Amino acid sequence: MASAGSGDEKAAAAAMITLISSDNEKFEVTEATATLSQTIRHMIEDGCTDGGVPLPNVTSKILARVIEYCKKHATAAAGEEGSSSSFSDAAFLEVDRAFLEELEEFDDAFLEVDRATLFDLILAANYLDIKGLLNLTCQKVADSVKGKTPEQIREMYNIVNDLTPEEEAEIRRETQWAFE
Amino acid sequence: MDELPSYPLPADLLLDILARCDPTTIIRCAATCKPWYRSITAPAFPGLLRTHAGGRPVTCLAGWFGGRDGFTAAAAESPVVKTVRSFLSRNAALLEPFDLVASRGGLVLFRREVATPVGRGRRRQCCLWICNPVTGWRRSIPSPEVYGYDQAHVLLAGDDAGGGRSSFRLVAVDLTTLRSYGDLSFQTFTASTTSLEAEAEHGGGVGACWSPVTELSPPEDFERVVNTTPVVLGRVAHWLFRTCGEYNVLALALDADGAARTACIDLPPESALRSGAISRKQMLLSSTADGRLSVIAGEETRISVWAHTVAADGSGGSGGWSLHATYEREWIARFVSPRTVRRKPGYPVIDFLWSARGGVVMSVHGFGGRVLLNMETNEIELRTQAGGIPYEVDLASLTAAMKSF
Repeated sequence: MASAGSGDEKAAAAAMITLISSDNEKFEVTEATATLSQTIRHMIEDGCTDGGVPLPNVTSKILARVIEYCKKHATAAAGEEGSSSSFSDAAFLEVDRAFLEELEEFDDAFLEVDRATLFDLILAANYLDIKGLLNLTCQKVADSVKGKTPEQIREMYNIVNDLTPEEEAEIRRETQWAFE
Repeated sequence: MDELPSYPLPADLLLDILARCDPTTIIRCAATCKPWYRSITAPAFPGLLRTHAGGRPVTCLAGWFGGRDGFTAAAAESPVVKTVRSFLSRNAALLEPFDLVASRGGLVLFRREVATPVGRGRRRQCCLWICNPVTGWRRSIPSPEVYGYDQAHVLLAGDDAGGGRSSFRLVAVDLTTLRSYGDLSFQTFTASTTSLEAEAEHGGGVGACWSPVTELSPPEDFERVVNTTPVVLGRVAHWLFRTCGEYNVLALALDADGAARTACIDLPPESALRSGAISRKQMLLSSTADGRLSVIAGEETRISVWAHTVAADGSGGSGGWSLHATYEREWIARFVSPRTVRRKPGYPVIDFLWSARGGVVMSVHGFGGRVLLNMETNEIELRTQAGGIPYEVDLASLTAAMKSF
């Protein structure tokens, strides 16, 4: 985590960045929101954000969702800065907990999307290098396949079964315990 | 209607997802199509997954051996739990006289002590069985020559064993002579978990055998071992000793080529932790959820957890202890007290039973059951019973034997 002087940071927080989606839609966001993306952070550091940041891999629909996530989490990050996470201080702990709970609720609601959107969010989070969002979305997919049969997983993620019946029988025999 | 993704995810993102899944789910994913089957059963896969999981091997805690059915499930009943139970009941007659002494990488080691009369005395020996209760593989291992009063068994599996991913290495260590002669002796047994099945069924063990006995003199004194069950991290086994009224840790690093080195790890300094004043029952060696060595110390009012950071060169030598977490005794007792009448004034008496990867099982006096403290989530769980050794299912041990197509 880079920490410049707090005065500079405040000035930077007010600066606006324009993000341009693949379908040419423009989004104005604060620098604090945009820099949750390591990719954009590096672009800002290199001073190549004048005239907007083109994101040819992200559609406006997905970018709007990503920005929604970043806005919420940027506020959370700013809130955390002031509070110490000292275990002894019960008051701080209480505030932190309420904040974290709210954030968790937001994340849960945020993930209520269809699977195609979820995949697009993963790709966008990967491309924009937003650790929190990548973690969240990958975990969602992981949770969704848990306890499912191979047939269900194929159906959920549009996987074509190219195993021969013999091969499939062989796998079942070898890993019978996993299917009981 | 749910919209389906029309294209597959790039391989590295798929790894990111699978690194968050449990081994059962990964095996089921392998059965969906050829590309996934090939990636998942590839020898490099467990290592790749480990990188994507931030260095943790992809394992899941299935449960603990012990309890009513011989195996207590960690969370919900899973296919693994059913399989382990059915393995135990199938082999009940064979394993009945045995004690379970170690579990690693999906393998479990059973030991039975036997004393055979030799001349006027008796010679202590042991029978050993090693099993993978999920795949059903098992074999017997002959008694090592090294066998003392303070006997320890270090089980290494997969990559850590150094003989390929389907191998295991068992190291028999006698810690008894450390006190009198200042040295320890050990012997190694390396074999594969896929072959030798038929041979083992006939009480064999022809292919593999124990290495010659090696002796090692640690650089410092070690007097009495607190618990002979080691905390094994990677290829290094650790034991807590009480020496001249102080505690110290013996680290035995077992290299892939069979060589071994010892090192001494001192506990946090007296200024930070007055460990000298703590009794043996209130000191427990363990590991943190992220795989670092830790010491759980029962101080007067609180339980403190210290985590050890290994020096950058990975020698296991110099590094430092830091206070990882503290838990007030009163806080722990509060979870228990509504269920029972508190007996005496003063700080609650809490005994440590055993610990594994970020969790510790304790018994609080006045409460009949067990208290599981999860040090990762800082949550307390009450259990009417929790058996001894935790069983983790390891992906590498499952995919090693699978065919390739």
